[in-house]
Amino acid sequence: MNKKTVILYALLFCAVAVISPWIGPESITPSDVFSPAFAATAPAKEIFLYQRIPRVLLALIAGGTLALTGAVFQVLFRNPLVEPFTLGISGSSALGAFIIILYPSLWVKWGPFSSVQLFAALGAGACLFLIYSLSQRPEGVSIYTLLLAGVTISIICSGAILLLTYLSDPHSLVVFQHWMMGGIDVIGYKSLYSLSPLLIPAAAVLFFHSKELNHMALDDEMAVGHGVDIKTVRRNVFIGGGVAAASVVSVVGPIGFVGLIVPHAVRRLSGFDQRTVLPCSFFLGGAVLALCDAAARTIIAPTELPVGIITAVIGGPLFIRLLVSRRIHKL
Amino acid sequence: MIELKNIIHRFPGSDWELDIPSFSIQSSEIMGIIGPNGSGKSTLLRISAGLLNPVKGMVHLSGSNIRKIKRKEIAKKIGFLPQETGSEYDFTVKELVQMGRYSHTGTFGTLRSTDFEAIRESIKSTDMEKMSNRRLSQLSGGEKKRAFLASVLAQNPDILLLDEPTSSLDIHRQGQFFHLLLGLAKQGMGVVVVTHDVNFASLFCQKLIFLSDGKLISKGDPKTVISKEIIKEVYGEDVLLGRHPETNNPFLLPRLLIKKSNE
Repeated sequence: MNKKTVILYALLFCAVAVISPWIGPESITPSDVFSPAFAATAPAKEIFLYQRIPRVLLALIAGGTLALTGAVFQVLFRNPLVEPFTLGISGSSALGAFIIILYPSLWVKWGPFSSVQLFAALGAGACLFLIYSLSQRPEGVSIYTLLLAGVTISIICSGAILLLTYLSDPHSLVVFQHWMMGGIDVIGYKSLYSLSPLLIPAAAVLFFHSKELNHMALDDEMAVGHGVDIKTVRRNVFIGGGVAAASVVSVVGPIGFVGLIVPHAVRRLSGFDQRTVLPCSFFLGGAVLALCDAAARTIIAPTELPVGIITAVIGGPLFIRLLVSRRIHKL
Repeated sequence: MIELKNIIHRFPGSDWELDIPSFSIQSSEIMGIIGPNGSGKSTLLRISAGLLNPVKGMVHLSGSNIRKIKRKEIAKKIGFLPQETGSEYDFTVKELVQMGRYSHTGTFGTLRSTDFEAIRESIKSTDMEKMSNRRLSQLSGGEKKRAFLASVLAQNPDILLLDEPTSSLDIHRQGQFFHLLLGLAKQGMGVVVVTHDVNFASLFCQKLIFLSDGKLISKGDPKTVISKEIIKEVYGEDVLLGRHPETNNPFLLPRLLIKKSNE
């Protein structure tokens, strides 16, 4: 691991964390925030503490997690074009979210988890279970079947969503479309609490396997010869990455391109050692999404854009550039 | 020491069968496995490394059934260099060689002074010192092979299993490579090398195994096992057999090519 590089990315992450809460349609100054509680500037303080800070924290964590899972899936599947949503996580969680939006009678509330979040997570969980079961072979998990099954589930979910869209009422459709655009416009810290039970252990599993992921970039026999138990690593990284991505998507919706572009940027800038790539992807992914969100809430202020639109506008051209790059096979 | 006991292996949906009687891989010697394409050389090597479980028979590593030993423990004793070596990512030589220390490091993969020493030694012994900071994409085929060998040597194994390691090397590099193996064997390492080059195997190996169609045809000292009859049986080819003027080891040339060139 290149500690200096990781520290550099961490500093960028911290800098964005400190700066971005001050950016937004409402002008907030440090004197507003640090004034006594019952002063005239209390609303600004409220906005800062209960809207801006949780929103920035969620952007940092969500962006970081999407980039982290993108980085591990790209090496796991030995495919530079894989992102967290390639496995059908996006489509299945969207289907879960759409079902609960359409049928409010199914609403459940469990601790800090909202109904949409629970159903989106349920959809993603079912998808992960299904494609993992389909990919089981006597010699371990087949990564090719995993990938193909994920793409197939994605297509099936898209079909189901189209059918539900045709059958749904306009109000539900608007709510669903907003969710699909991806958003981190949360109020309070409940969403952050609800992320932690699944996200923290899942991310820990991914970081724990970062050194084995270096070997996964080699041919299987070379990796096994080095002493890596590739069956266990594949299983753990797939489940860890899937759960981490699903837990984030269930809260913020399918925010595209962060998980695809950021790991490539990190590898171009800082080399291929996964022990460096993984933490740096997390830090850069978080910083990028927080900055995109800052742009989303200021570009056409006082109206806010869903952050998914910003990431798509920036990420799309970058992705095309990546696609035509002659170095793509080395990324 | 690796002991193979009455190995039989079949691949699903295939009539082909590997049927090898018991033999062992000893320390301090180079054993060559020779045979035509599809004779079972690589399969035998993969079974020896514990990468493939035979349908029948057992492989013992230092007296224990290899199937019951964890991969990390096997990697400390057996170094395996497959025929296909490639990487999805463009690692530097040093990064690749560091990966060879995986089995010796703990949970966080922190390298200690002994690890750095092993890395330095393996880079030095494969003559990759000047290229240690180069990326794999900047190396020739032969240099890449040596970089991967260095990562296997960094494991500090007792036994080295190599699948056609010299296939992409010129004659000079092949000689250097076999000299390197000879040096490792003198230090006590057991080396098994799958090769198509009977002449290099004759010069450098202490023991040869000839395979044909999954069967062991002959086994023993190169000076005794390399004969016209054995080569005819293994390859179905008449050869000209000669003796190395300095070592008296047998070498061979294909007769067919000479006939054609005289026509």
